[in-house]
Amino acid sequence: MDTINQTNRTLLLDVINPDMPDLLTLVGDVKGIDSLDDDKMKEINQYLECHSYEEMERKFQPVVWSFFDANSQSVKYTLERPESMPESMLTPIYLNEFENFQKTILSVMQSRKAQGLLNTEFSYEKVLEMISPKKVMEDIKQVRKELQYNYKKFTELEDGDPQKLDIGDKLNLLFEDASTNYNNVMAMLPLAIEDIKTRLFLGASEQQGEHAEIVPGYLSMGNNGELKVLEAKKEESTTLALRDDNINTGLIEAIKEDYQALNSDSNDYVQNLVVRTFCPLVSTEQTVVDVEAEVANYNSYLEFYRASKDNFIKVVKPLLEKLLGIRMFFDQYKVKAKGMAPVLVVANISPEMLAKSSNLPRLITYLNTTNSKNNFKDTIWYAIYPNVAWSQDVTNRIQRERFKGNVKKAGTDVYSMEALATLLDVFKDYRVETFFSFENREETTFNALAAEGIEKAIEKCAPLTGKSFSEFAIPVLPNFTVIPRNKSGIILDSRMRVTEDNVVEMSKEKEDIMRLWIEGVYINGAYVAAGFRAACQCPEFLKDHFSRTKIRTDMELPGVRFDIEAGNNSLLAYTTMPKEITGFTNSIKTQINQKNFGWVFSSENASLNGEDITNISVYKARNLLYDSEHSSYEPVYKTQVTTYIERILRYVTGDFKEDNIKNFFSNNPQSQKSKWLAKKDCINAIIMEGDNLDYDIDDSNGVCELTISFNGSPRNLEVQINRLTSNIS
Amino acid sequence: MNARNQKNVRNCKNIRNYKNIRNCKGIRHCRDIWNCKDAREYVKKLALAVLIVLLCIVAIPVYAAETDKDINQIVFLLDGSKSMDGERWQEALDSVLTVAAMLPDDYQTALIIYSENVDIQVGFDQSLPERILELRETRQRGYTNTGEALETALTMFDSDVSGQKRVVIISDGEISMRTQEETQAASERYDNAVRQTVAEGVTIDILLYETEEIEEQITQGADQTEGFVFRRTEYNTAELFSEKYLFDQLGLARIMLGSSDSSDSFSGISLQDTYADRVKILLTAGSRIEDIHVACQSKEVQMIQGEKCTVVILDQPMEEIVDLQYTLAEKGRMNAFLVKEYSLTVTAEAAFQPEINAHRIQVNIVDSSGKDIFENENIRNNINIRIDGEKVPFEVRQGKAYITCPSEVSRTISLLVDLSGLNSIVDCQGAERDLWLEVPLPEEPEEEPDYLLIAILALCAFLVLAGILIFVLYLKRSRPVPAPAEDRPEPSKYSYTGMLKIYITRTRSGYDIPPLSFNLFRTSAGRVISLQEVIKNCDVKEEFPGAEAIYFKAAANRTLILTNNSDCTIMKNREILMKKQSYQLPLDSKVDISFEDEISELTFQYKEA
Repeated sequence: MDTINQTNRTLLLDVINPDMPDLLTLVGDVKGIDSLDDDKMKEINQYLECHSYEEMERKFQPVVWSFFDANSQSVKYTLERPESMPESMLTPIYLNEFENFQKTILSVMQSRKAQGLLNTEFSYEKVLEMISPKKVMEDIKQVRKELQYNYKKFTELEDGDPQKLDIGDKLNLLFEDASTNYNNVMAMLPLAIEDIKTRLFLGASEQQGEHAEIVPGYLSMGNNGELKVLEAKKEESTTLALRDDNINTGLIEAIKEDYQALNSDSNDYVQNLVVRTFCPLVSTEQTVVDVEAEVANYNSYLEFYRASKDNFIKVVKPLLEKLLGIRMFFDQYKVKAKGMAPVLVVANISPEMLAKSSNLPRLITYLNTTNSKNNFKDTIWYAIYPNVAWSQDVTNRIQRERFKGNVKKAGTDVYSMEALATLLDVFKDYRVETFFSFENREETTFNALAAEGIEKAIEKCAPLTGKSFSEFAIPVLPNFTVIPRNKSGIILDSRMRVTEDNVVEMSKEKEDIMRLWIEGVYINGAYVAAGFRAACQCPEFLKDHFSRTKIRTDMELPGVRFDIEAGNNSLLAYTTMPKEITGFTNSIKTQINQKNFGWVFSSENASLNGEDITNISVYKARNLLYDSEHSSYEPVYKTQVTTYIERILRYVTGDFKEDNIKNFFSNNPQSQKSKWLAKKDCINAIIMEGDNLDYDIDDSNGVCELTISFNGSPRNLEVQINRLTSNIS
Repeated sequence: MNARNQKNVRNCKNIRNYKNIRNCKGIRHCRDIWNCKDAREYVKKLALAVLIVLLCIVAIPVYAAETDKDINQIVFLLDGSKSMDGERWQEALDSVLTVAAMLPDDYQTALIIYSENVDIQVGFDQSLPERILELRETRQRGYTNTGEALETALTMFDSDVSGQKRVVIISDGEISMRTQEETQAASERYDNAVRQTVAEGVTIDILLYETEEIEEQITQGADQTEGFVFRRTEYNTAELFSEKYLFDQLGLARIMLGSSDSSDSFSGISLQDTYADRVKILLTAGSRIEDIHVACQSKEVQMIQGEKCTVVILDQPMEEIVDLQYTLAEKGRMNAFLVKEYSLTVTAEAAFQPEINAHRIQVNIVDSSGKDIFENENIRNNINIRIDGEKVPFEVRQGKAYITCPSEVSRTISLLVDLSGLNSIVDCQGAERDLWLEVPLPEEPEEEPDYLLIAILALCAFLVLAGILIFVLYLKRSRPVPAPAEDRPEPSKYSYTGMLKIYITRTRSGYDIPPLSFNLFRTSAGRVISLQEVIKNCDVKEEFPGAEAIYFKAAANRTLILTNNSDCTIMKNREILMKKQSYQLPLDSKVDISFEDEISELTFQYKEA
């Protein structure tokens, strides 16, 4: 692979963070220039090229902005930084591994994959509970324990002891963690909710959920030998309590001081709440509980928490789905030793924007630089165009919300088929194969595909078929389901109420149960398909998957000719996505096989050599180029092999010099064709058994016509021979 | 000879050029050539010269000659007698300070403080503003002997000074000594000194502190030397004298920044550009100026502060906005002036462009650090360029001004860059110069001599016909001039291949137009098609001024020929495609066009279909 060292660099046409540099901005003005200089390319790669999910996260810092709206007394979230809002009023919520919602979704994916359960079998509710205040509190309890343990050790050691300094460092880190909670009110809400609950129900059995006051006592025997719990006298407990307090009082003071230092407008309620949350073992401090007020607070906190979490999820979900997509793109490449690892160039711009006439020259100039040079390091081979509109009314905009509808997904609208066609027309010239998938909704999942077949998808892709660029359009079906819409409810908690006997209890009324609806989380199929295809380009990847068979893998050739549909290839190389459904019916499979349409994943029960395949595999890998002779769409590998051969030919023949072309195809063992033919039994051979590569030079027109036959089905490629050019007269 | 040369031979205008270029004596000379033995050889050379004239662009760099600046000298005579003490003394020092600090480098200043004798003398070699600070506390005493001071002043002037010599007397006007006789003698001495002043061509200017009970005796000196007399009264303050003296009498170019009657500062003073070598801001006020704060990035900031005046000097300022803050001891009048000193160098080059039969003159003005000052729009609008005394329009591209000057014969023009519009002190090298515009001689091509001979014959015949025509026209002046033929390129013999992919990147209406494609191979072979026709064919209703004069025709080897007869800016591979020229576009070429309205823009690619 010393000539073309990668065949899987992928361009993602989507926005991750509008505040970060994007392809258009970085390319800049292209008036009068054909290509970008090397420094510019370096700069673009520095900002946009990602080799792993973590690198993407570091470079683009996906973020949701939150701010409080005093008019509606609510928290607002947005993906684009509100320009009119002062910086101090905005709180960024970075979607990294610490972000609770993302953490929850990843847990869902991991546990479903580990358990190997189908969507219907998996119990989503349990994992999704992670978002509820109770789980947040559990996390804090862990921090609290460590805090107390370390603080105790800290006070025990003498000043100047190096160990004390080490523990001091640890404590600083723990305080930093804790302060992320008490620095903003939103993070305090789950604490406050659980705190009130703890204090009101102290002593009550969990089942009953009723409040009764507790009096400390001790066990003794009565005169008649009966067991009694006697009320303890206050002074007897003083010694124990004071010993306890030596540590706690210090910690309380430290937390109070820290809270006050970080919050200029601190208030006593929050301060006490912070102290109670992180130092609950206060035995001598008596706090009076105003039951009515606390219940009212609890209910309003819970409602506020639910509403803001609900808003947050609605806004963050589309971004999260993209991030999951990118995560899955990289996740497909799992090898023992890394070789040609997929690289993702994130354009960070909406494809609709990119497809505008005024911006296309910039894209063209960029692609001219990456794809029209004999340097293949930056060549873009694939593109991902996610979220194509499923319904046609994309442009309908509601002027006024008459009924409570879905929260607008700012900046994450679905992308149109027209923009895709425009971009494909450009990509065709640079031979970039584009994986596209439809927007995330129930109609595009495995369930819908299994029930309805692919007719609808074919119909929707009709505008892209029969065109010069059809060969480069790969429709991916279906999308992956992380959390199904109908199982996306989370019970946060119930409201509290005070009964006539002045006892507090959790309400069991249906309307008092606080519930959140995530409304389904999906991953666009295009990410997985592109990631999988990119992974298949790496000989190491193919070797890992085909090591059990007798088929050789050549470590010098990319997997451009690897046909996933052939033989048992799809059972040997499959995606990392867990199965979702029981499979397609035979009639649906017949339909798919007859049409040979698109890049179709299957969630079939299958086994190879006695080993069950629990992952989703590729059932069809076709683009939109229709071969009327065979009444089917063309396999994707043909396009890439043609591109690969053309690029190698251009490189090896010094831009199509006639003599070099003849040498390229000659029977000399050192010719490129002979070298390829020698490796024809490899899984990643460029020319396989049954394939043929031929050429014909038309001297009069100065054209060389290549004929690449794949199992008898020919593909023609015409190149202009490089000769002396005559001047104009 | 190619088609374009043939066309030029046929063109009557070019034939006239021919004549002039060769310096031959007209058609008769042509006939001589034909008749002579080596006629064929001669014609060969001639044709080659024509080819060179048409193809080459001759650049003639012109270098500016060094100009010597006139040095001017001013001596201040400051009356240090008892009558000038107190507020008058501070005021007088302020005036000297202001004038001395504001004057540019070509002025040298000296100071004499006198009473009955010359008490203090500060020569031209010393920094006056610095010495004045020391003189603030000097005690005023004794009588006034202006005559002696004036005599001393005259001895201070350098004999080789080429510019103005001025003496500024600041006094209450009285000449008085201990005794009547001494006073009489001092008066006569003053009169004699004035006569000597007149003889030496020195001008006397006077700031006179009028006092009721004193009769002034010195203004006759100013009258005789046609100097300036400023009488200090209640309303005519000493600050006003400084302003009038600097800007009216010495003619220092300045920009008035503002005048205020409040105690607020003129914060955020705009210098308009950063090309000046030195910028001076003069603040004069009716009361004491305090707490001055200046913030501006520059090589050096200097602040010279008097009682009621302050001069801020910025050496090579690097930003356009100066933040200036101060407080006034009392609310009152405040004037602010800006004096900018530029040190500029003008260079000019002329290049002959045969396709438009004119010279294109490139004028470049750079500041002392080599920056092009035409980059600044404000400066650009205030500069005039004159050729042979006539103001000519110019266009500015990439910091350089371009003038198109029609040329038929080689000649010398006088080029003047008028910078007076800048309202600043400009030391400019090469602002006025002569420029040689050479129309290059034609050279003879080596091939196809027979064809050339025919062309020359045709040329001669054409000249005869043209002569007859001119004669007829001369006789019948009323006859209308025939319209010029359409300059559409001639049809091609090749067939079209490929297609044009057009991306309209900017429109006048602001509407976004989807990418267009136009199949050239469907266009009939040989046809010349304009860009406007292409766009109209794509059903685009927008107007693209100039598109009608951009032509395409097919060429050999699947290339396309683009001819630009419009004023649109056409760019390809970082190169601007010249007007009236044809360019060959191979497949996959990308071309950017900015249309004549300077709004609409498009990019097209010539691609394989």
